[in-house]
Amino acid sequence: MPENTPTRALRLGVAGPVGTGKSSLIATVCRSLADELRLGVITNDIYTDEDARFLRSAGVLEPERIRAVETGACPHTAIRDDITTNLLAAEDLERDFAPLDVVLIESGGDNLTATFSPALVDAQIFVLDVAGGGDVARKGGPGIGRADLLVVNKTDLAPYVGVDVPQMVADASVARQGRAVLALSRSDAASVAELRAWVLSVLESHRRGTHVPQDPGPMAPHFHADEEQPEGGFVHTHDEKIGDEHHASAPHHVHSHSDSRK
Amino acid sequence: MQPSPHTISLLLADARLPSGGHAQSSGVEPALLAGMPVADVPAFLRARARTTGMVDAGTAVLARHAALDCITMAPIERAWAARTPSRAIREASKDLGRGLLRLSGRIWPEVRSSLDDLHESPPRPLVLGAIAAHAGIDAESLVRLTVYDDMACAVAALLKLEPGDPAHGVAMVLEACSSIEPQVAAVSSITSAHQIPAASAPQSEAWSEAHALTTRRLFRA
Repeated sequence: MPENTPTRALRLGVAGPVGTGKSSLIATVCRSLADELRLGVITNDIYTDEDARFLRSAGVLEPERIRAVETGACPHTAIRDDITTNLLAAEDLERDFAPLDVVLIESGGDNLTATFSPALVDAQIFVLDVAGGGDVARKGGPGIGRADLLVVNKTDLAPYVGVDVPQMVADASVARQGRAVLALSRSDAASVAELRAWVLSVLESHRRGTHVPQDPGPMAPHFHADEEQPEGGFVHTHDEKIGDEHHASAPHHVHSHSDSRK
Repeated sequence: MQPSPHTISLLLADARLPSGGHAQSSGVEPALLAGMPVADVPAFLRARARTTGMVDAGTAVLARHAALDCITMAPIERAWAARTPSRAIREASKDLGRGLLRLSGRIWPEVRSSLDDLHESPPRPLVLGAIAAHAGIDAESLVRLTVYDDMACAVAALLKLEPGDPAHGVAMVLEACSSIEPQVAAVSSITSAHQIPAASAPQSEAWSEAHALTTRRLFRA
């Protein structure tokens, strides 16, 4: 587990394949929380400091609070097998801007198997997007299956890429055995508010000491969708109780926003 | 039961050791970005082994002595810095040293006390020397370890940067490491800072300085 020090922030990882909107999600989190929380960001870029520069130029945080680390062409290693560089960057950021409330660590875009070590982050978000294909959520994998939160991003694009968002969310919910799924679009204020509430709830349980870092692990629950038994009849509920005691207080609403296209 | 010093040497030479080495290229990415032909990599590695490799190895040997004798390492760090004129290379070495030291905190907590009078990020050879002292690794093994680690890091990075046969990379590592065998006995027997080899590699240092300013890189240095 990450070492606890007096200045230790909540470390929140954001992983997911290339182009699913990890940087954008971090910018969204910063935009919605920068007024009330002291934030820092670490990016794990592959070829450049592109993500760090994007976030700096987004103007959501002071540029000094956004740092990039090199990953030696292996973003997977940097967040899981050898987390040294990220740990040192997190410790430096927490020391230089003490006290920080949350340090967001963005992984370099990798594949579906890349998840953060629980020794690096306290909680992690795995990001998919509708443009990557509506079937991706069914494919499972440790991030999809067991990250603390699965985000199905860019729901505003669903009509253009022919993806049924409620179905994708339903598939994800099954693959995750009920763990939290959030259909997100940065242009959908309600979904952004939910993301914000989720981050605050994890921070709250982190501060109370009740949050235990989860490890999605290298193996994942595997789900085979059976098209003979369509789940189009899936009914989402805002009161769904999730069998994850660590997040019992988190808002686990499973939303579909297919009806809120702008 | 204590692990054998030989096992610790193997552990420290293993590229999978979680101490931050995977983000380093031992100067290979800076060289290739600056236009050095890939065909020159074997010669680059031999040059690095006999210059910065020997500086680091000699520094590690002295750090081992200092840790064994419980004396300050500050003069050794200064001697190393004087022989490592590139700030980018010094910073890379300090990143590696800090990563190793962080790992040591879990495995050999006593190593930190040998480096107490240094900054939180001591250069790699000083941390290696301190670990060698506490783990019982002899000076000659330490010299070979210091050079091997750097060469293996270079070739692992090379395989990410340029297409090539991984087996050829292994051959390059062995060739570069064996090229310093004639110096191993002398370097492993030094006892004072002025005996640390002072061979520098100005072209490689210039490449590393330029690399530190680019925004397109896979490796720290």
